Amino acid sequence: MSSQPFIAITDLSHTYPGKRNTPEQPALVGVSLEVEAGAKVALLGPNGSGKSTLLKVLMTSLRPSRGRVCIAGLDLGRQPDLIRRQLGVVFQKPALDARMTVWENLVAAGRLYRIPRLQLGERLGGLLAHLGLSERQHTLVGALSGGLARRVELARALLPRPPLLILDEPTTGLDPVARREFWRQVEELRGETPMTVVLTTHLLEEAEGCDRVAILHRGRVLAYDKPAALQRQVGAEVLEVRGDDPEQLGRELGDFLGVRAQVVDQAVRLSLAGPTSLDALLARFGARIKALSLAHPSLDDVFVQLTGERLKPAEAAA
Amino acid sequence: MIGIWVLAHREVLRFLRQPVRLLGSLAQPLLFWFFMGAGFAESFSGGGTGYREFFYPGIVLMLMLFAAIFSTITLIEDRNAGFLQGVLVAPVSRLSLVLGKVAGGTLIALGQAVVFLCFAPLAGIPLGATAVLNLILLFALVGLGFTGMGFTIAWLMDSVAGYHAVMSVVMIPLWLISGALFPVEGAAGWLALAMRCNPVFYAQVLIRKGFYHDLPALAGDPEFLQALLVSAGWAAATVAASLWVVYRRPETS
Repeated sequence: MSSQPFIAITDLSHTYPGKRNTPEQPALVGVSLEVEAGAKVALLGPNGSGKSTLLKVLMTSLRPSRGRVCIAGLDLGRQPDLIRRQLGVVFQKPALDARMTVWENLVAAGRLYRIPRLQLGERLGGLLAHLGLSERQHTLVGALSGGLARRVELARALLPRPPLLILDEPTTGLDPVARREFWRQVEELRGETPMTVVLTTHLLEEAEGCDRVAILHRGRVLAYDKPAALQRQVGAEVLEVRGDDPEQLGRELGDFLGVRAQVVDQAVRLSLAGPTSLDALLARFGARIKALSLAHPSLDDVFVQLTGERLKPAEAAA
Repeated sequence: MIGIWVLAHREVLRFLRQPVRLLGSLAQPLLFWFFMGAGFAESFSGGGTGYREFFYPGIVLMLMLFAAIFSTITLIEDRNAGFLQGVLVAPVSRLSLVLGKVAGGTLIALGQAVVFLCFAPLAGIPLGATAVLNLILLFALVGLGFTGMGFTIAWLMDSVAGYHAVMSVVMIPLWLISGALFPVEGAAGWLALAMRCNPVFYAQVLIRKGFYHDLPALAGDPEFLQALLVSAGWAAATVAASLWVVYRRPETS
């Protein structure tokens, strides 16, 4: 392999044109990213961060206002048709026809990718068996459970054996068991055929399982690194303290520990560089502390440090 | 080519899997024909033809218009959350996408019209095998124009409600003044002029003449040839317009 990245995004910007009641909206601002072949990369950010727009550009459904994207050495602006041959996409919203059976849907998809009939039957058989769908192949997609329908979506995306798999919040609406099952199958298939994977998610554990994570905020990439490296940037541990008057408490705690305190969602957060004994802290502030937690930094903590906002407000405990 | 076939096949399959749509597609024109035919029977003087007979080709035209509307309306939702998302990122040319959808819609409209021909004897129009074959060719051309128009409008719409509005104020009125309900000969001057500017009027002429004469006989009929030319131009123009809107607005949302 050459050192050329599989995906190279250079200074990509996109602004949605304004409509009657909505002003122009910049969705991506000067985004540059490189993804090496075979990597699994997550785009992490809240709604409106630009991650869906970036994904739409990558899957050729949106022409960006400015910038350059190369996938597998092909220029996205000039050769979208050739790039489409490299892609498998699992959309956030179902892309299957509920009135057609699993088999009919997949055959239709396979034929759109010009997979020869004989080969298509063979591939489909293997894929359906692998995904545990063989017994459901003649069921109408509309009659499948959410988890099974997602698996069919995955089968549809993988059928052309794409070098690039794009997953747009693929596990939204799935229960934890179905979600784990979905990822197990992606990993298994990725073991057989090497694939580069780009996904968006709002689930931290999904992002933490990736080779690299790009953190997006208001259309900009704030950080792009291995999850562990991003977490290390925050510190060794994150201390979160709840109590009355968090601003004042934060200032005092910050002075006491010699670090900068942030107040997010009424809680004081402090990033600690190394293991810290809590005894002295509790002796001094114990009476004013209502709740306290000490944990290794999560990607949410990374996001908080970069933006001062939580990735998922009100859902932190989930 | 294969993209066209896959999309057209899917369109027809979907239609056949919706029993209510299947039933409605025949029941609605039948009811219209029956009630309006009965209501206008006494007051209509159409040079020897009864209103039920006069209205029959018109109702076939309406049936085809509605078939085209219903098969293209799915485009609006399909683009943002449905089958079409996958088609748009697949290596399928935009031309195949348009032709596949339009061909599927045309086939459905054509199929419905052919089934409706079973009622022709009730209208007092006897049809032989040749006449049916001729009509199939004419239906195909008319269906293409209607579906192409539906495609263009649907692609430009953000919501099904918007499409309904256009349908009520543009598409149905085009049918109303197409000569399907009343002959152009009896219409006031301004109305007759509006009718002759309406592409659906020429579709009506084609179909009406197709019910009574074979194509070879019609080859020498200047009125028929004019209608054929306009309808072919209309079909080509709407398919071209569909392609144009797809290229102009490629975003899926």
